Amino acid sequence: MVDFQELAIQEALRSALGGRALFWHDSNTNRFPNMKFVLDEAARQIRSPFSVYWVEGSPPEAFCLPGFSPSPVVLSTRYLLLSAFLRNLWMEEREIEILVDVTERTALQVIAEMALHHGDREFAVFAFVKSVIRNTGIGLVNWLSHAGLDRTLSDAPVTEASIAVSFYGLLHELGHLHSEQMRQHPEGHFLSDPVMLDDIMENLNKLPWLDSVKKHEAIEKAKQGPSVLATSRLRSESIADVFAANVLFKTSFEIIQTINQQRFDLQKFIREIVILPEIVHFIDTCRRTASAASMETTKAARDVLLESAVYPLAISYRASIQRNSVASMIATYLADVSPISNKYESIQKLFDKISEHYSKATEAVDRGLAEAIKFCLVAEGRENHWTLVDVFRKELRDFKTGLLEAQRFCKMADELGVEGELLQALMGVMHDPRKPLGADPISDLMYYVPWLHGPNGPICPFGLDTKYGHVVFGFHTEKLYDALFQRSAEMVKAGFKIEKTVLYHRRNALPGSIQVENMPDEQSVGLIVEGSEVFSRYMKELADNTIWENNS
Amino acid sequence: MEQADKIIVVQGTRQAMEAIRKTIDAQRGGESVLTERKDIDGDTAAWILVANLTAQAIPHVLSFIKAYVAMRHVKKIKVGDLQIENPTEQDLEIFRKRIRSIAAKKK
Repeated sequence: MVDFQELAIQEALRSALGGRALFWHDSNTNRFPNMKFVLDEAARQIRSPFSVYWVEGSPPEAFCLPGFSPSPVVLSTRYLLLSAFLRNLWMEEREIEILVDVTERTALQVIAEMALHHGDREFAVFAFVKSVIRNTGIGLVNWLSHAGLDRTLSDAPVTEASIAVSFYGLLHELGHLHSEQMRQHPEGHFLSDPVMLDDIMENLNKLPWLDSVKKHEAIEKAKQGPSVLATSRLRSESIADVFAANVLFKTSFEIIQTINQQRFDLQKFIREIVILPEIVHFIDTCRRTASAASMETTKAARDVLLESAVYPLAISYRASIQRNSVASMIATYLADVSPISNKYESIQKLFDKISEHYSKATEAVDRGLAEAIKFCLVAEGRENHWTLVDVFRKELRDFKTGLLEAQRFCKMADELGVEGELLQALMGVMHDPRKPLGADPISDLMYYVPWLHGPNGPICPFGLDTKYGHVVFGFHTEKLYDALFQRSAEMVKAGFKIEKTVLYHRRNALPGSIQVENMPDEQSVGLIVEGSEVFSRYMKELADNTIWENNS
Repeated sequence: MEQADKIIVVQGTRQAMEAIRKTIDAQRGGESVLTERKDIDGDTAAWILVANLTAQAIPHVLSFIKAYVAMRHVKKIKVGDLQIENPTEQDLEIFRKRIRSIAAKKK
């Protein structure tokens, strides 16, 4: 008989990951080389039972369920691949503008995946399409296609970098199970509430983008939570960060120097400790943005925005605690193997040098991320959802990478059991990009337009040659259309006819230039639409018979 | 002793999950586990309650959950193979009826 705890873990994971997610318990801890070695060290330090679960095919996930014993620690393949990819943004010295564009697209895709699982599904499709279309930015690089990347991670040579990317997320999660999490920190300790609050206040005052009201609000949240700045949370995260760095240092050193008989490179290790918190920051900001973009109320979205505004402070606070702790740990360790004095200061200088080296890449990544956030949270001036899917449809005809990415996204949606109108539309355009997109049930405006048909089918919209040129009218009301065109329909030559055609006007399409949705060859036509001032004027002139060239 | 035979999974706010758990634990033969889902950035994305209940206890528990559903404190609920996201009070009523009818058929 299955034990209730075991069954409950399976059910909780299914609830957290979505009904069709594929996950498994890694009982052999052999996903990566040296995994057992790293996890044994982690287990020795935390002294609390845990079990590792892997998830395939879901959005980036890294979480634990501390209510169970052993506690499940969950990591998705996507999270690891994304971490590896993001790390490369810092490593591959790309041109800044390319880096900004690639980061923006990556962020949009991650936001899309997270919204698909935890937020607004329609928005998820919108963000995904924005991430892949080629009509803006530098164009899609085959950056997040991850076929083979998993294997690359598993087969990569054992280095400071491969160990860090493979295990940092997992070790951080395990850090939440560490007994240090339960400890009361004495007065004056850097992790005690009063010291932390003083530090937070001092740093908050340095943030130029927060006014005094928001600063006050942030301080209140730091005191009482829930917030990224809440002392209890910052403490818990800092302990997990320090734990991850500590185990990573010890095991990397042992694996590289003792087991593999190679030289452990301290600079390379510190480089990873500088970049990894940035990656955590990136993925988390994407999750917050997906959540804010899916919020139903402006208050909830505002709260998320305030949290996002103070989040860099929380990250830099955590990074500084982690850095000091790592510097101290390495200095102590080196004291046993080398008699150099001032080790702590030397290591801090090394941190400064490495941070400075990657500062341009960090700035570019922040810019790309900011662009993605702007697209998601500022509706003003951005494209309509359906317009964007239609742009993608046209690109798909010669855009294999886009198609592959869309297939992967739709597969993920299917595994999460997600359905929706925009998702259906996306699947439709993937199936046949030549087929025009149907109407957007929420935003599209529908017009009746006269269309001239010949013996071989539709020819063109039926218009009038006026003193303003060739004019085609679009009507909201069928009655007005009928009143005007019923007679015209009877007057055309034998073999020809005028038929009432329905056109959909995307709200964000160019004014007056409407894509014909239900014609095979995608003609564009300038329409004078009912409801506009021009339409009223032309109609009046039509009634007065003054619209024609020779009457002017 | 009555054997618990239905797994119920509820996801929502901490306050709601703790209250629902108390009710579940008061049922004869019921057992439960409550956990937070702690993300890498420290956010508690959700509280997940998994419980094992007798079929007879489920309608009562669902009635109790209804109040939290009305306050939108419940994000997901799963009873046996039936699952609803962002449930409404009406959804819960449908749930109750279906579970009652399944129980009646079993008799």
